[in-house]
Amino acid sequence: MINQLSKAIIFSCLSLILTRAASQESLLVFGGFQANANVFLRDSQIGAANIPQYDYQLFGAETWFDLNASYAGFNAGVRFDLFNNSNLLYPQGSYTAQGIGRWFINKEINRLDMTVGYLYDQIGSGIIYRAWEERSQLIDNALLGASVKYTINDNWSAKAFTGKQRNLFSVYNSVIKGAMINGFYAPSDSSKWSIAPGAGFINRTFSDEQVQDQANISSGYLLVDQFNPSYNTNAFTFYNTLNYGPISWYAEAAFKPSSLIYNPLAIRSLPKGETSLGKYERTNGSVFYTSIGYAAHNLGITLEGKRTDGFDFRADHRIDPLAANRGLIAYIPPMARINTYRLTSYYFPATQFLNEMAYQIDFKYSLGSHWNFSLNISDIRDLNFDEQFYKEINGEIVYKQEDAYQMSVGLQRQEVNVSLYFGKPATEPKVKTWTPYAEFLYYFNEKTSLRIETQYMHNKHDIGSWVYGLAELGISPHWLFELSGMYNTYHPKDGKKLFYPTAGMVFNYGNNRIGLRYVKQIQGIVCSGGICRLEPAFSGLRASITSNF
Amino acid sequence: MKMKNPLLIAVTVILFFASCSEWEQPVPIPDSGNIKSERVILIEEFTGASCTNCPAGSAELKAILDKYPDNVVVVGLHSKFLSAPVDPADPNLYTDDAENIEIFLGRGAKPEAAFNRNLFTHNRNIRISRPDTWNNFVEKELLATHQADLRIAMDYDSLSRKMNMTLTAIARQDIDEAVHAHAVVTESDISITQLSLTGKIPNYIQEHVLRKALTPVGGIKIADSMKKGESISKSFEFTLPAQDNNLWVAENCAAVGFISLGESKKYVLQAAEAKLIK
Repeated sequence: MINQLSKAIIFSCLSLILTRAASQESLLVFGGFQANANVFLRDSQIGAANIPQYDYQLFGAETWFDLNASYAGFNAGVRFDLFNNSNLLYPQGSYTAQGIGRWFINKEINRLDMTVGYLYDQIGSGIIYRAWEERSQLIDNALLGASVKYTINDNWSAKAFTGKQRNLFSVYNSVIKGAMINGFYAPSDSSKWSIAPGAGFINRTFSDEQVQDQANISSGYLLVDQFNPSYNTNAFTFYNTLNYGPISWYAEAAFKPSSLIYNPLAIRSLPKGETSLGKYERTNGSVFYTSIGYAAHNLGITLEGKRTDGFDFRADHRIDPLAANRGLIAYIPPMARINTYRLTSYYFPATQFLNEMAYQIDFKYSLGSHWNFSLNISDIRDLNFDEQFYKEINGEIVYKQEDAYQMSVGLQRQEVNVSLYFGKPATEPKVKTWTPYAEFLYYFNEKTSLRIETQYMHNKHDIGSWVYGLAELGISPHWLFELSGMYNTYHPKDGKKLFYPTAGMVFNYGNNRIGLRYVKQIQGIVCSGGICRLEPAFSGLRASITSNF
Repeated sequence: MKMKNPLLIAVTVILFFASCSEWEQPVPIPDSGNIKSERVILIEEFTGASCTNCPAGSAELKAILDKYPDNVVVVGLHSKFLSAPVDPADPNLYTDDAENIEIFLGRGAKPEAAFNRNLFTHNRNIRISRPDTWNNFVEKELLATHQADLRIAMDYDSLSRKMNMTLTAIARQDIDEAVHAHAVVTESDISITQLSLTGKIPNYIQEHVLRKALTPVGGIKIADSMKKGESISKSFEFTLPAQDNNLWVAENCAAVGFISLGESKKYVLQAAEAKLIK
């Protein structure tokens, strides 16, 4: 139904725009194409088995095609999504569907900016509301609805919106409404300081069916654990950025009074004195987040702090633990360094929505034009700051000789509660790793470069110790060749020591990028912005095409 | 219109709306455990010895069995995922039959459970996670239309260890689709070491473990359709293997039968259970 309506609206609007634009010159059309294809080659030794793709489907693919147009103050866009036996939705399963993934129409009339369709937006840093797309995990929280923004004056604007959150090719039943106001104030153009305050409000109204389901679940609980269902949940936030010379300070406080959350660690009573873990409960939620940065001359320092208490906020109360990234209304910023190397990024702390107190310090210093030093420390604990969930210290030195070569060396220390982040038993010891790493990039000439990367992760527990090496040859402007391997030098549980090779090539031509890789990859966590999920081991061929126009 | 302090106005409006949940009328919570029904629900529990959260699922099923002892039949499926014995001396409860049911109903996590193999509205999978919600699905099924009865007759010879189970399906209304019969053997009181969130639990008792499926995962077709009042019987024979490592203890075994709407719909109409030795 939604797709039929979508198609009708899209084709009407695009036809109108294109017809009217035929004789005009100001039509702007742009977009992009992205396709991934996986050939699954079963390898039960590494755990790449026992899902439909390895067992009998053998092939999976995803495609997105965006087409946007601007004309006479109108902006419109449509996106076609396709998933064929894809493991992107559920890494352990297979998903096949296709259709219109997004459409929107936007028009600004005087000070009023109006948009209908699938909307991406956020309030403040996203703590009470963020509608976004992250294709690596098939997250698409667009709001199917309408949005109106009013520009009050040069410094102030207000926005209101309403709709239902996208759930693949349908929508969740709850209705989401929101409003925000954003401003800016500086005493004068030459002033040393300025502020950018804002405030936002979100209301989620569950449908009759959702509330009835909650009432039924509550009725199954013993009286001591029963909760009162309700239709409405509100969340509000206040935020401000203060700039004073080289200092920038962002602070946000968000509240979600008396809302229903699912607490997987709450103890629920059963008859005969038995207990079970996990129950819905009504609680007050709050998040306090701040970030203060100093950047001047050769020095950059960022301090971040965050306190999260009971702030799981979703479009539906029934979220499968295997798909814990679905239905999110709130986005809470992560509090750990985003690492890019294979082994330094293996352990990443997913944002905890219910119970987290964290801080992070990032320090960068440049010495002359050749040397860069950086140090990052992050510490994530429970609300009382007693139990440590995650700790990371990462130091890095980079030496750059312009147009000749660049060298990086670093050392990472991690302490990870794998019970919390990987669902391991509570008896599993905390993982403590030391990971030295180095990278060398050498330019043979203007066209040819070689990048060599190596890491070693020392780890007595969990997956054990690993060594990783990569060589990447770039022949600009078209070619990139990659050869890498990862080997388990020590396994604490007498597991097999296996070699995981990867070989690939990328061909760039204009705005097109075509890649082909043979990959053997261990099970791990894939994260984007603190939103993480467990990915099973992969064995097979990966092809990708990215194109923009 | 000139607004001197839009932020102050916005904050006032936000705080006003933030209190609106207090305006709501309370939602009544229905009573649970009072449903009177002749339906017997098949619950297939996906579990395993190495599954840390699974004891919570099993505890939930015990509570449901206590609440509806005559309306629920449980089959514990120890498919490959997280089924490896924690103690190498323990019996391995994995069976290919459990794995085949997992493939048939769809891969997932553990603990999960399927209720009459029904794909409930608003659920993506037949398998349901979050044990605290399982009672809700049982009660939904108890309130669903009762299309057929199923009687089970058991004959077991302890000398030859041969069992003969006869299932008799009786339609309570016209069923215009093919009806399939299924038969499995389960075993309870199996003591193993179980992983849990707090560590290993020695001498943990596994109940209702699927030991042998006597029919394919989709069952055996017994009718293309059934008229109201029509009854169809089907017998299944099986000889219990010799007792080994505290497995295949006849006193702990039960025969479970159920009828479904076949391989494509999968939906289970009615289940029945009988101990081999009463």
